[in-house]
Amino acid sequence: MDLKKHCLTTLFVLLIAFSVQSQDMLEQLRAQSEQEPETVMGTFKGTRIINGQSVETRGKGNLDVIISHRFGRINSGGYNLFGLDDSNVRLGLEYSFSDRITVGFGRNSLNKVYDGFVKGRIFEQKTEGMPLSATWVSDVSLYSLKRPELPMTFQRRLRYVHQVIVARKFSPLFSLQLMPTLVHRNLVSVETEPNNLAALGIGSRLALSKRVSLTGEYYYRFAKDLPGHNSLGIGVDIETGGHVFQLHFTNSNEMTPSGFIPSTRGNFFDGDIHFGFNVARSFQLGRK
Amino acid sequence: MKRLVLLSFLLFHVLQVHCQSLRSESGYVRFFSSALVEDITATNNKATAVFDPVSGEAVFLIPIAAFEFRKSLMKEHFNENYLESEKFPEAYFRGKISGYIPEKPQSNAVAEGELTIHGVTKPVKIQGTITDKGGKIGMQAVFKVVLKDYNVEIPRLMFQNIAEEVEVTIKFEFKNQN
Repeated sequence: MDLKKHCLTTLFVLLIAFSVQSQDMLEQLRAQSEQEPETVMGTFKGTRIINGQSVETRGKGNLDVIISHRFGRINSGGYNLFGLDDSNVRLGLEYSFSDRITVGFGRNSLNKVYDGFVKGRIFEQKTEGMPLSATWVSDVSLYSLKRPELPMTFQRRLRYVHQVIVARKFSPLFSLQLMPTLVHRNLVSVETEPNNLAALGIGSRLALSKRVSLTGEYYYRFAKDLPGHNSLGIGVDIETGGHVFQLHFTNSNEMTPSGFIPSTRGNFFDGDIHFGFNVARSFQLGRK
Repeated sequence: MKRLVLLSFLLFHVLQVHCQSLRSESGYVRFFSSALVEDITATNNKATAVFDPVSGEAVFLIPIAAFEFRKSLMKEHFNENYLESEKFPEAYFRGKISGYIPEKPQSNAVAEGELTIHGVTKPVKIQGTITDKGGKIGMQAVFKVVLKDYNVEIPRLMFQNIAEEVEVTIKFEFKNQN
């Protein structure tokens, strides 16, 4: 009887020892296989938040086609179908020459603006160590609209914008970015308006599900007595594989930073709101 | 006193078993999804394993974020939308491998145990081969994983792009026993 008991105890202990061992092996393996910290992906779903750039750059060989629309003001009434009768379009192409450098071009119907930009990753947020991502954007745009009332030169048609975008993905649900921005316009509307304008943007993303998130974007301009308003927008991002659909409401109707930062005319809280969307489609050209 | 002897014997035994387990030198995992619109392949060179040739106990550990794709956006979608690697950073197999015959150049083996992917654990039985070249052990296996079993959801819209069942190929080399 006693022996039997002992046998049972031994068997029991053995069983435990085995299960503990297998558990141990996993823990041991975890401890031994030191994984390098990974790059944090998907801080924002699109390369734009609403009107402005997000911190995101696409991988090498990626071509993004972005088609954006801004309709008229919602408070223009039912006769104007709440702004849907008017629309302006931006057609854009962006190609990533490396995982860090993207070059983009666009054509806007409003003011017949051609724009081009270079966007470069400075550093990327890691799962351990680096807590932030940063991207540089330099943007130039050409206002090609004919203005017979003014002696227009090529120089006068140009505007420049430089931005540093600093972002952090706090969790899979929430990301935030800050965008210190400098806008230079060679031609301004009145003499008292400064050619240089500093602004600070803030943008965020709040995930509602794996594929749908809420976004917000605001640019504060550091200038006194400047006509117009600060640009504000709220939107929804819907991501489905290679597409990102962004639907939003904003008081800006221009889609280049040299336009919507200095010359947003609408007052969001008076109902001067434009419905709009960006549709981005990614194509992989060439190997990664 | 008797028990103490027994316990120390057991402890010794467990420790000894530990010393005998082999660490992987290299680990390669590939998965392949074939659907109507596109084929998707991803590879991972950062998988690790331990194998105890005496007891047959084995553990394989695969970091999800280390899978590399041809299309750069796929990696983001794979981690963010499908495998949710922030929540479930690794996949692992834990179990026993039978059929290993020491010093036999190649033997058919069966791994029986639990496979955990996307936080879901399922019992599995995987057929494979074990090679032994002068004490240097290698393992290969090809098996199917049904995504639904591991709660990996494919939205309706993506049915034509992602297969419901993916083929997984693994290749591991272990450090020399001697």
